Amino acid sequence: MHYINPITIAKQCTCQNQTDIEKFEKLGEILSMYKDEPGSLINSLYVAQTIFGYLPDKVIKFVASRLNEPVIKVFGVATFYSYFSRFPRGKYTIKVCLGTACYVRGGKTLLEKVKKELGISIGETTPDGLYTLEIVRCVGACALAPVVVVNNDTHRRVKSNQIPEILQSYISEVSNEN
Amino acid sequence: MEKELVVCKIDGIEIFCENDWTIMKAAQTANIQVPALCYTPDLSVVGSCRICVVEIEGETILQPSCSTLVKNNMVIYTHSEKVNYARKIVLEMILSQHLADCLVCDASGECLLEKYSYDFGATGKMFQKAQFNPIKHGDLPDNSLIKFERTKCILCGKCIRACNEWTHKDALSFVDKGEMMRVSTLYDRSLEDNGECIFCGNCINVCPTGALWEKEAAGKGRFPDIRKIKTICPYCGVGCGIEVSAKGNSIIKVRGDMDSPVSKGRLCIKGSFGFDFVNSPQRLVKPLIRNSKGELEETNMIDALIYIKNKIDEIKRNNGIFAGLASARCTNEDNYIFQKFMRSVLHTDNVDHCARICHSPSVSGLNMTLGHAAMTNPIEDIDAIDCFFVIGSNMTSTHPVISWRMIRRIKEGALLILVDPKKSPLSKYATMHLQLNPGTDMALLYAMMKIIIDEGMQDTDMLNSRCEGVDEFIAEINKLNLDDMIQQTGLDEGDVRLATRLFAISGASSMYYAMGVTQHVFGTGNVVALADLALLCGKIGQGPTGINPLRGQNNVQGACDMGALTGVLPGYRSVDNKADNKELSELWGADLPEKKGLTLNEIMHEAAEGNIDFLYIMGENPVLSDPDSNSIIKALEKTDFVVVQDIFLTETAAYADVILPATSFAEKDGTFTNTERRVQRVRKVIDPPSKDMLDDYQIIYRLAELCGANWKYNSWIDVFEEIRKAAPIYSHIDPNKFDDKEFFWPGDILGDSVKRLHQGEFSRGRAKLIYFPLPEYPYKATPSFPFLLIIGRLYEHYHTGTMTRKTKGIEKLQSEPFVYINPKDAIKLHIKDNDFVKLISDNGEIELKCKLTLDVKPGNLYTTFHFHEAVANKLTNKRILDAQSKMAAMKVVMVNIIRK
Repeated sequence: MHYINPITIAKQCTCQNQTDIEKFEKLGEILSMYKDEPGSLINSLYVAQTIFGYLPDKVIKFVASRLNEPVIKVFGVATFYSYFSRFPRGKYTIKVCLGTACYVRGGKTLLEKVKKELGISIGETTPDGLYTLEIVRCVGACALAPVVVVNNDTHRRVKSNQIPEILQSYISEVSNEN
Repeated sequence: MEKELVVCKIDGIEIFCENDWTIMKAAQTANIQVPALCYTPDLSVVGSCRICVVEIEGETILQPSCSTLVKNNMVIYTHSEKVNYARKIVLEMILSQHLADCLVCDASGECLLEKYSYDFGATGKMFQKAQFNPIKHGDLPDNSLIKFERTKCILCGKCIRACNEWTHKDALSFVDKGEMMRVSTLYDRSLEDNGECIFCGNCINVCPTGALWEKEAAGKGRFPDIRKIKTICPYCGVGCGIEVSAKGNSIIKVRGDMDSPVSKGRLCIKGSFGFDFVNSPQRLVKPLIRNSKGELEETNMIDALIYIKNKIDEIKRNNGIFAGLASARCTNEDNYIFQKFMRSVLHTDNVDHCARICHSPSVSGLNMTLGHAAMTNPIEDIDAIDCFFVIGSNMTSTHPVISWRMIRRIKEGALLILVDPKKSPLSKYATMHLQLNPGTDMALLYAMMKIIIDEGMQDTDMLNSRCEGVDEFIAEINKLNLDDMIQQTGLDEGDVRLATRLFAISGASSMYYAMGVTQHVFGTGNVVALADLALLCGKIGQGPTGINPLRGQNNVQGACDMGALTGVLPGYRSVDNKADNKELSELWGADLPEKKGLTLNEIMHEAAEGNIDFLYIMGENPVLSDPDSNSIIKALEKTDFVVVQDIFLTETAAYADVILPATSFAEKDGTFTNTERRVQRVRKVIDPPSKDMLDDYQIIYRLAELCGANWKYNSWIDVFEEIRKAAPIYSHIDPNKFDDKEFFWPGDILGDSVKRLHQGEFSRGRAKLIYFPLPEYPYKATPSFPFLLIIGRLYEHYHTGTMTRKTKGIEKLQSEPFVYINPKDAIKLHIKDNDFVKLISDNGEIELKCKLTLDVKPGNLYTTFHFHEAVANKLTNKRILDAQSKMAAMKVVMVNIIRK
């Protein structure tokens, strides 16, 4: 069996507007390709999270039963990697870097500012489902410290007074879409 | 890896070991104790705690002894200065993460962390204490049985491994990583809601600290105030070893006995938590006599016994009829004395017990074909089986500890052919699950035998040299029509053929069966057909293969061995055999009845007609457990004098004239015989709640003395010594040597226990193949009764619930009866989950709630008989009985279901 790249599958995915049943059908189809491949659990969870946006308990159970793995093992893996989330995430994930370089150049202040602006703490999602706040330990952009990563955008040499502006840019993006 | 002998030196002692041994194992064989926190024999090795490190000469780094293999000429030091210092540092690091509230901790005195800290001088002051983190240390959602304090958890992972490897469940896991790593439940939900936890309590048993504890035991007592006594679990026939902790006169907690050869520390929910009944305030403590107004009045034991004695004399004068029901819950000694009293003092053979309505077809069927009515193999033979044939047994509920061992073997690669109309939890592991129509077992077995003969898969050596009646049997099988039989079972011919081939061709195939086979009016035919199938394929009497009836109650095997069955004297000798009768009448110094008496169902039938004058019931609850409950109540009302001897005022005791309070298993000494014929010692843990209470055998012994018998028993050992004489199969068992020897019956010429029956020669010489004509299928749905109701058991409850329903935590998990129905049928009848429904048979009706499940086939229903709120046995009848064993049809009954 040839190797299926989970990222390719994820890229082709247009699942946002599908119903739960369609999502499970889609996931089941992909899992059937992974079934007898050793070491495919992480890929499966990656696909599942791409389809559902997060890993609810029923999806964990579904993945376990389709891959014929103990459900507790799937649960253990899903809670081990910080990439996976068991709870719904915001449309935008804000990652404030607290690596050494960013920390000494004010990462901590940025974090406090984001917390204050959004009214949430680390790991939480805003009630409107727009932002999830996370911290990361170095994204490999120390020369640009301090950095804040929002989804795939890396904001460089951020000052704390720029935070409202950055956040606002995503809100306008959403309103433009509508 | 090829095995070779290696020599290593541990702490100066030379040890011969095999090259796949770990240092830990080598040390243990020389009785050198290496401390360990994450290691337990019988669980996989992870080597994470680093307490078991040892110094190996020539190596700079200390190695964990639990995971390092021995090599030739290795020189090992387990307690050198370097090792001890390393252990101290490791302990200090663990203590920095551990809430050491030893002053108020339940585990103090039993805690391994506390013990090792003392041994190696770790104070917990070397490193800064970790701060409380609500995510890592916070409480998990609550449950009613198990307490989990994560501040005391040292992340050894034993609980997780016990859950996965012992019980094959997924309730616990490590979550997160690094410093946030913690033990959590599946989905972080309460153990009651996550759908995986079965509350077996094994996680508590392996926990080295006080992180996991029995909720009810918390704060009730700890070392050195508690004493621990090893005895045998009083629930199912597996006979797991338990270690009871008691303080004063109450039981604090019960844990699995790690040294038990049967269970090796494992227990199920009943064994771990089902002991609240012992200290229950509802226990009978005083004898009760029904006065002229019909009320029960307290009295003392001697008055009650004299009252019974006078009644016996009166009935004897009037040539009345006596009958007695012994108990599979009581010890061998109790049952022996009971039947001796009935036969030698009351001169009646009307003595029986509930084995009549569970495994009497096994007794008659296996005696007919093989010569011994018991499991042919010990439980440990499961580890050598290639193909399991499980028929009519919901093992994960009824014999959990055996089923876990079987699942472990299946995970190692053994096949499982499961024959069960309902999807039981075991079906998840089945290679093939034959979901046949209820009660068509015999058709399936004959179809399998026909396929074996057609395809020439029979074991000719076995048939020619060790069996008789072969040609006649094969001729009968050849006459049968395969298509008809397969059509009756409702299975696919290809599936049956494949299952047959798997069974016949696998190296070591073994059969395990229970009530699904026996509780029919053709139960003996079913058992004989199973024996025929095993003989035909040669899967019996050769090594680990065999045919194994799983006995339901702790001592049902023993009660049968003791002769608490109609027509059966101790050691399966026959009442109507002159020589046997004479030998025992000489031993007992009294004339014995020479004709077979009435069996349980016949006794109840006669009693309902008013033909029984005196009925003595010891430790049974026939109102709930026997077929046709209404007729049992009628029988008890019509009987002139009913004596009930029990630990509770049961549904049956409510109809008694005299009620005698007996001691429970925890208050007596004696022996139980488990399902594999292993005789085990029951030890007294606490005193009975009142001085007026006596062991069952002592009550009957005193009554017999009043009636003029001259028996001399000072203790249970005297009774056992007499059993050795009366039952030759027990003659090799020395009651004083239970501590250091395993005993199975029978014994061989040298006086050693025979673990496997029928090796070399069958007990009856040559095994006999018997053909029972295929019965006409009795369970045909009719327009008025269109459903087949299967009556079974729950994992949480035991039998009539007299004991398990006294434990609050268990009762909370399963507090009411349900009938399970397939959604297809439910839609047609407009029934939803939790609707109240009425079940109606031609014998009675009950009301209970309904649950929709895919586990039950369309056209079938499933319920349990634990609950007095809806007595399933009101639906069953005993109009037709099995000709050989007098079994009634208790497994399947035709009913109608109506939404209320």
